[in-house]
Amino acid sequence: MPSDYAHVGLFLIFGVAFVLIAFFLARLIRPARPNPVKNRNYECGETAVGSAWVQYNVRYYIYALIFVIFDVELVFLFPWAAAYRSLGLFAFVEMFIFLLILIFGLAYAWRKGALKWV
Amino acid sequence: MTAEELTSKIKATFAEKVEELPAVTGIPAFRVKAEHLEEICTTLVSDPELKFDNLSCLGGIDYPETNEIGVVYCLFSFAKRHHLNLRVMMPRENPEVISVSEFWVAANWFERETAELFGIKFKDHPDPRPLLLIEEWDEGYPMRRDWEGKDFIRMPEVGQEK
Amino acid sequence: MGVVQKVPVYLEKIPGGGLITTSLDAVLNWSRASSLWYLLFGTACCAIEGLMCTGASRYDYDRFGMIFRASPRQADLMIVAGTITNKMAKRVKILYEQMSEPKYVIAMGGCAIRGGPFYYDCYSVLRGVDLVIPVDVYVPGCPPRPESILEGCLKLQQKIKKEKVSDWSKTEKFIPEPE
Repeated sequence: MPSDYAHVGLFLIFGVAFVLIAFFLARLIRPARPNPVKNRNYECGETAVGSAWVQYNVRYYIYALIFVIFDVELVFLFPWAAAYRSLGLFAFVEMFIFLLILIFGLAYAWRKGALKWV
Repeated sequence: MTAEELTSKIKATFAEKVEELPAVTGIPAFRVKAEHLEEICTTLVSDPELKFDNLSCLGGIDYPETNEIGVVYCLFSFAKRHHLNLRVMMPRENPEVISVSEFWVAANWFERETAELFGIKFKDHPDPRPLLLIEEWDEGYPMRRDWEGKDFIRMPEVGQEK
Repeated sequence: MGVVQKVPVYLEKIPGGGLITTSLDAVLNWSRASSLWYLLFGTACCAIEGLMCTGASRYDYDRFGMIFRASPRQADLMIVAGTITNKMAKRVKILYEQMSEPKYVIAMGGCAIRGGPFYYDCYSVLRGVDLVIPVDVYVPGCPPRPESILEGCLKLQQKIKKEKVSDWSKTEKFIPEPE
């Protein structure tokens, strides 16, 4: 329905406008006195040596990756669970196959050690 | 080993290179000349009965009355559970002694501190940088007895505070 | 900030404008004083008393809105708790510069006020942190009792509540030289 989309659009505009107004107001009120020492990198008072681009452990990336995959799976599961009663056996079996594919994926990740935080 | 056994063993091993000092704290103390320090330390570390594997403390001392400056080593053995103190005294003009960081790694920072506060030079030190004072320090050796610095305010005598 | 610095000056000139600036004063000062987030800057014994003990449950900082922050970027109060040596003084200055305005400093304990017990016979202690950074409140003691420190924080809150919006245009910029 057009009025539903209008609600969503209004919500979107209001959300963006709220954030912008908050930043703009804060910018008006706060003092701003940048100087070279203030803009330096923070290193507990010492002068920073070298670049901050260091190598991170890959565990963070893997953790985020697994989260994204199963989060998207949940996004598909929620509407199905909400409309479960009015859907028939066909939807149940179809969703079950979907889940089975993802369970294979989980077993693979488990076997490969992606769930261990090392 | 008890303190008496240790004292006699050290005197037997090193004969005239060490000179016994009165052990005020119950820990045997010996005075050593700077040129003999290296071989004495080698024996102290490697001898199976002595086995001094831990340097508890290393510090500088200063006696301007007898014109001597020195280093005190406090050694301990985890294996045999005995302590030993060594004292190396040098003339105040140009104090130099070998660094013991090859025997005990803990001596590294202790010697850096003693070098910048007393002015004692440790030969063959692996990392002779100043440790505690500010980078622009140019006012001498603060822990010597006769040091007076630019901003140094001595405590007034009792009864003479303003 | 350019336009807003002039606005209070003009506002005060129009009749009734003083009402706006004083209410703005009240709101801003109240909000700044009620949520002073302090930088954990403790070097010696005063850190145990003034930062850890006063921040714990018996004498609580949190009831005044004061939460500790580890980074100067997120703090607006620096409680200098402890002895400041000459080597540390440079770092204190840099940390103070890295705090964002509005920023306040409480010098806590004898060592931060005038060098404390290290005033005499010491070659390396800075005799007072106000030789490197501007201090708002001095809290004497060695170490001060937590009640004293909280009294100091309340005095700072009273000092903040006297600030005026029309002073913004009068503050001159101080730019320190970079290292």
